[in-house]
Formats: sequence, C-alpha cells, structure tokens
Amino acid sequence: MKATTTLVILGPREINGTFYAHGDELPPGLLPDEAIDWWLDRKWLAEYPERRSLYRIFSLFSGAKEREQLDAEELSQFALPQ
Amino acid sequence: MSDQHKPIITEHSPFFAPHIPLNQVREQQRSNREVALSASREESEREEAYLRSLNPPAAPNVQLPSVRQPVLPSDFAQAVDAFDDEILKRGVAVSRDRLVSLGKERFDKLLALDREARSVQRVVGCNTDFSNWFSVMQSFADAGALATSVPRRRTADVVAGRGLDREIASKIADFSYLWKTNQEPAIVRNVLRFRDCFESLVLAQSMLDQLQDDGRVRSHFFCGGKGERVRYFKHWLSALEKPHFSVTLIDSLGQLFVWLTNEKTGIPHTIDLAKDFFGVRAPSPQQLRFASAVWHGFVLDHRTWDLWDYVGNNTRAQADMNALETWRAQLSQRYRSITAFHDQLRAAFLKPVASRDAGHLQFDERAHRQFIDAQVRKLSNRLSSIVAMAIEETMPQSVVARFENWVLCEAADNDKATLDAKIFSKLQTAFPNSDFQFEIEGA
Repeated sequence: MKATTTLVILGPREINGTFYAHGDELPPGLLPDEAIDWWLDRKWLAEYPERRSLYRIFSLFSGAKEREQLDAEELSQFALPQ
Repeated sequence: MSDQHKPIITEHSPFFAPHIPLNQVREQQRSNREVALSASREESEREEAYLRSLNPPAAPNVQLPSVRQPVLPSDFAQAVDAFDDEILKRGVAVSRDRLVSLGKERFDKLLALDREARSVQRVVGCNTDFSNWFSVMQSFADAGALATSVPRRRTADVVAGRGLDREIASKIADFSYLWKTNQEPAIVRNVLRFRDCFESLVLAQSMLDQLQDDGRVRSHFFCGGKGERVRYFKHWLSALEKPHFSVTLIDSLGQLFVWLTNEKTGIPHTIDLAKDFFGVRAPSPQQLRFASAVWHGFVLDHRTWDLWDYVGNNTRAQADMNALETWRAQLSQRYRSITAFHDQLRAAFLKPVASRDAGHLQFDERAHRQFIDAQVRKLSNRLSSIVAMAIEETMPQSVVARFENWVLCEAADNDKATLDAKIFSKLQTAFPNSDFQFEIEGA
C-alpha cells in the first residue's frame, strides 16, 4: 500500500464506535496494516490514488502524521500570500 | 478489305466554313456581349466590395467620459505605500491554540460536508476528489451533467463578432461556475458547500503555517486584499488574539458609482429592492442576495448574458433572463445619471470594423469591461486607504488589516463618535458631496 493512496470505506461501517458512511475516507492510523489488508481483500475498503486525502491535506487540524501539499496554483488562489 | 466496305472520307477546306445565317451570327454576338458585360459587372462589384473593406467607416469621434477623481494630496500614493508597509510590519495577532481548535471543529464539518456531497452518487462517486476541479468536472461530464441553459454561440455569431457574452456566460471552468449546470442542483449545492469549507480551511492552515514566533501573521493580503479570501478570513476572526473592531463600508460599490456619476437618487436599500423585484413583503436571504447582485450588476453596466453571469456568480443560482432585463430596465429609469454615464462610456468603445459588404461599428466588450474594472479597483483602493488612514490618525497603531471595503483594527475600545466624525470628514474632503455609509463593529 502506497503512503499517498487514499483508503475509502465501502458500505456503512462502524469502527471503534464511530459510524462511517459509504465513500468516507478511512482516517490514517485508525486500523493496523494487517486489518487494512484484510478489509481490502474483502472489498470493505478501496484504494483510490486519484483521490487526495483530506486528513493529509489538513494535517494541522486532523492530526495526521503525513502531510500532502496543495499545488502551487491552488496555494496562490486560496492560501494566504507571503 | 473489299472496296464495298471502304469508308468514304470527305475533306473540307477550313476556308469554307459551314454557312451560318446572319441573324444567328448577330444573336451569337449579342449573347457574347451580355456574358462579357455580366462578367465585367461582377468583377467591378467584387473590386468595389474589396475597396470598401479596405476603407471601414470613419471612427466616431467619441471620447471616453472624464471619470471623476477624488481630491487627494499629491503625495497620497507614497503615503499609502508607507502605510501599507507599516501594516505589513505590524501583522495580525492570532492565537495558535484558538486557530487549531477552531480548525479541528471545521475539519469535522468538512468531513460531514464530504459525506453529504457523496450521499447521492448519481454524479459523484467514491473516487471523485472534491479538492480537485478536474476530478469533479470529469464526474459531471461522465454523467452528462455539465450542460448549461445558455444558448450556443453559432459560427455565424462568431464571424459577425456577436454573442461574446454568451460564450463567456456558458463557460464552466472552475468550482465557482458549477451553478450554471441545469441538472442535479442538489449535488451542485452540496459540492459548493464543501468547497467553501475547504477553501476556508486552506486559508486557516496557511495562516497557521505563517504564524511567526511573536504570535503575529504578516502578509501582503492585509494591505488591500480583496475577493473570496476576504470572506474566508472573516470566518476566522474569533481566532484573533487581541480585542479588535472593524469598520465596514456599506455598499461601497454602489456609493462609488453614485458619487462618480453625480447621481441625485441615493443608493437603494437592498430590502426595498428585493420587495420591489419579487413582489413580497418579507424577502428571503436568497432574494436579498439577488437584489444586491442585480443592483451591483447594473452599476457595473452588465447586460443580458453578462448580467446573468454576474448575478449567478454572486448568488450561485440561475436567474430568469427576462426578469433580469426587466429589473435592469427599472433601475435604468430610476438612476438616470448612472445610465447616461454608461451610455456615453459604451459609445467610446464602439470600434469600426471592415467587412465585405459594408463596414460597421462593433462594441469592444473586453476593453469596456477592463476599463470599468480598472477604475473600480483604483477608486476602491483609494477609498479603503482613506478610511484606514483616518482610523490610524484617530487611533495610532491600531489598523492591522485593510481590505477592499473593510478595515480591521486592534484596540480594546474605540471612541465611536470621534472615529465616526474623523472618517466622515476625510471622506468628504476626498469625495466631495459623497454619502458613504460605514459601520463600526466590535470592541
């Protein structure tokens, strides 16, 4: 599993008492790697490299360890200029 | 071969042509003459058309109307630059803890909006990336949901230079234009709500990234910033460290045009406009937004599809073209000076165009819009600078951000009456006989 792929939950699931709807992103670090592989095999999870992870984009607010940068055009459009 | 089957060959001398009767010869000559005359006439017409196309009609001698300018000291530009440098050095005090806590709260909201936007998967799917326009555009295109109600610009229109406004109005080039699609409005609404929250969070995260050791954020954005980012910045005011207040100019765009054109009728109240337009006693927030957008579209001289596009971009909803034209006509009758100013301005942007049949005058929409935008940008910037400098004079070291139509100040309290009088006096000096309204909020 690549670090940049986004894992998406297929079908409604409940993990650690939190409800996740079909299409929700799996928060990074919520499940151990073995469990992720097991879920992927059963098609309870899907990998979408083309979908960026909201948790990684907003790592300062989500607490994710990895951070995904927006591209320069997006930053010039929405971020605070220097 | 026997002699019986030999061909009989008769040779005629070229000097002895077959006899043609005289009347037939004359008929033939007349016919040839007519053909030659006709060909000559067509050639001369072509030549004439060609020469006409080389000589377009004379350009009308209409000059650009003189745009009224504020009365400012000669060193005003330098003073504004120095003041902006001061604002940049000062920065805005932001509480890291409060910003992170608010950011976490809004991030949860973003996830909820993401879920809501995916709740109906007719158009968007699990693999659609709402943070990326091309992914969303692809999903809409695959579902055939990118069609707009704007009539197509035909080849004949392109050749004649017509319908540029239709071409611009039909463009869906970004999230902000998604309202133009006429299918799946609920999905579009959800995607746009997600985008609002997403862009607001991008701004907040960049503020956090740029937060310096002294607890202040410094950016050129705080010196005359404008656009959607200003609206998003307002979402995060509760994360500011120090007590603050803001001075907002009410309908500065409308007031600027009223002053610019010396219009005697004052600017309308949005609620009254909405009541008039929609024939209701208690207009909804969306109707108020429509009324405000139509008013601003009118003062900026947006017409037909251009007005439809402008109102739609401001309300994120499609308006009825006939209704828009009716409302615009009502405003034109009520605000004669603004209408006259724009008519005069439009006449100055008619340019002669040569064509094969005859030359004609064509309105240069792009140059006209650029001119208006440049004037509005310049005047708005001056207006904002004057208000910010008036506040700074009354309460030194207080202004920390100056935007297009509001100013943010750091101060525990403010003497509202003194501030009010000072801003009013400065505005009257620079914009004589103007009626700018402003509101002091907070602290």
